[in-house]
Parts: sequence; structure tokens; C-alpha cells
Amino acid sequence: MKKISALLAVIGFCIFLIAARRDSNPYGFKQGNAGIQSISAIAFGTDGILFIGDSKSASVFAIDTKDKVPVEKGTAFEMKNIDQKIAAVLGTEAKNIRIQDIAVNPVSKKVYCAVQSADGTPVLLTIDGQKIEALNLRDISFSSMSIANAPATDAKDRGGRPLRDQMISDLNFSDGSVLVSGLSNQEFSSTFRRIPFPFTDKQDHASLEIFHAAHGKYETASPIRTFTTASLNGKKYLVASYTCTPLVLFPLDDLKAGKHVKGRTVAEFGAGNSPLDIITMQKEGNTYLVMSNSNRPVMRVDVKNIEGFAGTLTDPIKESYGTAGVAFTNLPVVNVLQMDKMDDTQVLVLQRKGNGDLDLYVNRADRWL
Amino acid sequence: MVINFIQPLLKTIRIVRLPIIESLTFCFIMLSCKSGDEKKNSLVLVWEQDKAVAVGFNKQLLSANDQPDIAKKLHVEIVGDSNQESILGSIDLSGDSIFFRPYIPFTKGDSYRVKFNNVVIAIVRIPEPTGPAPEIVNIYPTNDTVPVNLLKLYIAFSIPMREGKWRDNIVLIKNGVDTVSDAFLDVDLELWNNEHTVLTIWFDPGRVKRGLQPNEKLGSPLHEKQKYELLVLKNLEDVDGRILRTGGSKRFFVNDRDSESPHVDDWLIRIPKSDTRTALHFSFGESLDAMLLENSISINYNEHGLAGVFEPINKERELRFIPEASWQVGEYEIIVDPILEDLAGNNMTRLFDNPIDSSKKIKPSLRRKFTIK
Repeated sequence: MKKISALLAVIGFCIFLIAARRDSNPYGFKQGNAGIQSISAIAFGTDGILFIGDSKSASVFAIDTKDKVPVEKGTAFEMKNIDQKIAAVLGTEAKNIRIQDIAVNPVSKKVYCAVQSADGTPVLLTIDGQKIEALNLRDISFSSMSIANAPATDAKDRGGRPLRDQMISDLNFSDGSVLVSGLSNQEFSSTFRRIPFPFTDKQDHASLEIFHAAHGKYETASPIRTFTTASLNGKKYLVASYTCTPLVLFPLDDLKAGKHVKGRTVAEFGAGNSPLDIITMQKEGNTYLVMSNSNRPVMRVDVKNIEGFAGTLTDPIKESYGTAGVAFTNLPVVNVLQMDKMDDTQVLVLQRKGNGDLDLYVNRADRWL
Repeated sequence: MVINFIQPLLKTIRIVRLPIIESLTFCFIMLSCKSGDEKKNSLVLVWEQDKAVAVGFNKQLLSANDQPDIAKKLHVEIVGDSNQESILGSIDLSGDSIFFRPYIPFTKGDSYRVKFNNVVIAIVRIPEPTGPAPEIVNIYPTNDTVPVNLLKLYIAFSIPMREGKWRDNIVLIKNGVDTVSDAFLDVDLELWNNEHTVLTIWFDPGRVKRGLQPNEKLGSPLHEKQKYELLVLKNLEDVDGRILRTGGSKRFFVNDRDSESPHVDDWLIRIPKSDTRTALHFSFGESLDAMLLENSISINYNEHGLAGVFEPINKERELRFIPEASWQVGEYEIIVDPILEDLAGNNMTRLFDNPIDSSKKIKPSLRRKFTIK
């Protein structure tokens, strides 16, 4: 009897240890070299966790920044010639680096900046006022998930065929899942994945070809360039913007493995332009999408107008570089390459100025809303 | 011996031993050197995959007073930076050695100051890149006749290239006279393969897609029955900043619109005999996408993919599959990935530019059986 009691006690203790370990590591992180080969896009989740889209290794990484001290309002700053300053602390010249993405930790309001050197080496930096520091990705707490784009045949194995390269065009975290849009250097189409976090072996991995039928006569697959999510009339939507065309809505519930979804085009912002970044901001109970562009100013769209637009655009646009659909406002700011929400009243902006300088600064949101 | 103490830190490495520059070597190093021990009195530059990734020296070069808090005292700066910023990197202490590993490799051709306790102990010059300059290996499609709705071009290089340069250095010329403006998709995200050796250039889809406003106003980037030349200027740079050995050029003639999807049943298949490794030969009747051809077709035998090599030939109009093992008597199956495209972006299941009200729906055919006798 004593032996049984002792055995039960040991088993109970083991269960307690496993449970305790799970509680102390709810995301399944491990410490070490994350093996990140490239950084295409970054986005924060909750609890100081940063998600990194790595096109080269076809993986999404979650890293624990341990940056969890809450700050209510971010400190405004301006860093002029940020590319030169980053290059200097990396021991090279500005022409040898590229700023891939920026993100603000919603907990600490600290700025994170993903940089890639000319040889492809990725670096993750933090920017605090004028101070630039780096996270050591070779010794970090992380977990990862493969998004390898295996050929879609139903062959039992690939017979030695290479996997297709793909590029992560954008990445966001919403309702407990990492959302990843992909762009192929071979096919003119989009992939879109929803990956629950903490990572398991599950993901909605379907390559969703998303068609554009705005011109009424023909439909064509297009790659998503940037996206966000928004709640419209009580339902959650993917709001996607395309390399060459419009703003398109997809109910998130419809984006399931193997499902073929046609989006609803709600706005055309004009041809000859490529969207670069899109964020969501609130003011006085209203929600706005703010979108930066390659050949247009930053645009503001009132989400109420999107909610009120029930149809889909189908008529060709007659006027050169004309626009259609949901109304939008051009803001008096151009050449914004990256943005992120700093807090409820401020926006972080990476902008190429008229004199050619690349500056990072915090802008008051009410100037734009 | 030196390699032994480095190995726990780095796997595949090449060590280049650099003499510490006398004029810049300060007393504390000289005094702490053991006489005659050249290895301990030198700086090492660590190379991985042709990148200078770390600089290191022996801890015994330091006096006992200098040993604590080494990581805080060691700094590396790029020569020429007026602000003398310390380069961000990690410091690894491994046995008797100290390594500074910058977060990006040292830049070839640049010089770096190694400082300890704010005293310069060495200047390291990273050698200029060696080896042949980058070259254009091929421009795809290799066919000299293309459809008017050609969707994309690939340029393959001999070594990895850097981003941000192609827009100013790739030009399309019509009939040897006119530069075609706004022909290509100008997207900030450059489309390279993982190795950065193949660049994809899309013709502006807004101009290729019928019915869209750019197509209606500017027309298609290419016009039927016209001659074009794609010029690649030599100022494209590799990852080390070296320009191409020579520029490149690809001439082509533009033919009719391609509005048909590839169809596996239309392909001519030449079937090899058993007990040979003779190639299975495909003839498509048109050029297909060179890059997709390499990974879009598989051969199944007993429900498993057959290992072997696919080789596009004859201007991507044909494909050879050479199996690793000899063909066995039996039934095989060709399986085609739906994404395989022709030059106009029409894949196996849909047209690039699909008429919505078309009564002619594609019946995708992705499999075809054949028997080896």
C-alpha cells in the first residue's frame, strides 16, 4: 500500500512539474539560435511576442522579446537619416542595408526595425529615441512554424523536385492567429495562411487564389501586397490591397484550407500605384484605414464608408488613373514607406523626404484623422 | 591549434591570421605577449561562406586587470565613421579566445578599428572581393518568339546579386529605336529566388490584363509583329557591390496572343524502354515557363514520386526526365502541378485573363498514364 501511495505521489508530482512547466512556457519557446535566414515582415502579437516572416526558410518565427513593461503612451521622437545611422552601427554604408519593416510593441511602445544587409543577413533592431540596439537572434527564446510551399500535386512524395520559393509580402496577428500573405516569384497569384498561435502542426495552409474581376469582363489572380483586418458590421474581414489594383474584402471565416474565394472589390485607388503599408487607427469612436503607396499620397478611408458599400465594383474605370468605389481622402504626405500604430494618438512613420533623406519619426494621429 | 579553440563557436570556418599592426599595438598587448608565441600575438579573421563574420584574439594578450568585463571593454568601429559608433555584435568567449561577431558580416574593402578600453589595438582591413565578376547566365524565355501577352521574364546570374538596382539598369527597346516606358511592374518588393541568382520581372499586369484602365489607355507593353530587345546594363551589382562583367541582351519577336491553357493530353510523350535510364521526353508544342518547369511535373510509380532530374530543353518547348534508377516494367503516371504556366501566365486550370462569361470552361487535365515495356 505504501508502495502504491509513493508511486501515486511520484506520478502526481510529475504531472505537477509538467503542468508547471507548461504554465511557465505557455508558448512552447526554446532558447537558442532561431536560425532565421531572412526577415520579410514583422508584427507584434500579445505579451511582447514578435512574429517574423522569413521568406528564405519559408517559416514564421515567434520570438519572446521579453519587452513587457506596459507603457501607455509612446515617446515622440525623430531619427533623421535612419538608414545611415543603422548602417553605421552595423559597420557598413547605407547602400548595403535595406529596412524591411518596422513595428511598435503595443505593450512597451518600443520600436522594432527589421533590416537586411546586401548579402541577405537579417538583423532585428530596437530604436529608443536616438539609441539603436540589436536583438541577438542567435540566442533568443523562440518557436517556429514552416510554411514551405510544397508543389500542389497529390504525389506521395516529390521525387527530388525542389520546393518553390515564395516571398512573404505581409504578416499580421489577429484573434490568436498569425496571418501571412505570400507572393511567388514564379506565379502571379497569392497565398494566404492562417496559423494559430501557440504554433501546433495545424495551419489553414491553402493557397487561396484571389481573383480580381473589377473590369467586368475578365477575372485575374493577383498577389496581395499588404493587408490588415477589420471588423465590419460585426464581422471580421481581411482587408487586402493589391500590387496593381484595388482594396478587396474577404470574410475571414471564408478563408479556409482548400477553399477558393473571390473577394469583393470596394475601392479602386488608381492605376500605376502599389500599396506599401496599411494600418488601422481610431478617433472619437470612428475607425480609419490609413494606407501608404508607391505613387500616391497616404490615403485615409473611413471604415463606416466601407461598411456602407454593399456591392462590388464591376465597371471599368474610364478616366485615366481614375478612382472608384468607397470614398477616400488623400493626406498631405507622400513617400511613406512604412507605418505602424504607436498608440491611440500617434503613428510611427518611415518616410523618404524630398531631399532624399530617409527619416523615422512619430506623427500625431489627429493630423491624419 | 587555434582552430581547436574556435571550433565550439563556429562550424565551417576559414581562419586568416593577421599580424597586429605594430604602430597601433599598445603596451598592454605587447607586454602580455609570450615571447615567441606568434599565434597568441595575432588577430584572426573568421570567414564563413566567403563572408568575414568575426574577428578574434587570444585572451592571454590581456593583462589580468583587463580580464574582467571583457565584453564591455571590447569595441569595433568602422574606419571613416566620424561618429565612431561601436558596431553592434555579439562577443563570444570561448576558452582562451575572444571573438567579436558583428550582426552583419564585415564589408569587403572596408577597414575596422578594434578597440579595448578605448585604446585601438588593431586595424583590420577586409580584403576586396575575389573571384570572377558576376555574369548573366541566361534570360528566359530563351525562345526568340513570344506571345503578345508575355507575362514575365527571368534573368539568371552566375552569383548572388543585390537588390535595388534593376529598375535603372533593365530597358526594353522596340524595333531598335524606342524605349518602352512603364513596361514592367514597379513593385517595391523585388522578386528574387532564395539564392538571389534569378530575378523575375513582370510585365505590368495592369497593361497585360484586358479591360483594365492601364491596358485601355496605355495599351499592352508588347505589340504584335514587332521586334524587341531587352537590354541589361552592366551596372547591376552582386552582393559585394561588383558590377556585371558585361551587360546582356535578349532579342525577341512578338507573335499572336496565347489564350489557351497547357493541356497534358496534348503533349507528345516519348516513352523509354525498361532496364534503361533513357530520358522520358515531353514535347509541349509551345514554350512553357522555364522556372516552373523545374518543379511542376512529377512521375509517379507505385504511388511514389520517382527521383530524377528534369531538364527543360529546346527553348523550354521540351522537357527531359532522367530517372535516378532504371525504368521498371509497369505503369507510371505523369502528375502536373496546376500552377504550371505557359509564357502568357495561363496555367493548367485557368487562363491568366479569363473571360467571365466564357462558355468555354477549361477541363483541367493534370494526370496522364504511360506504360514502360
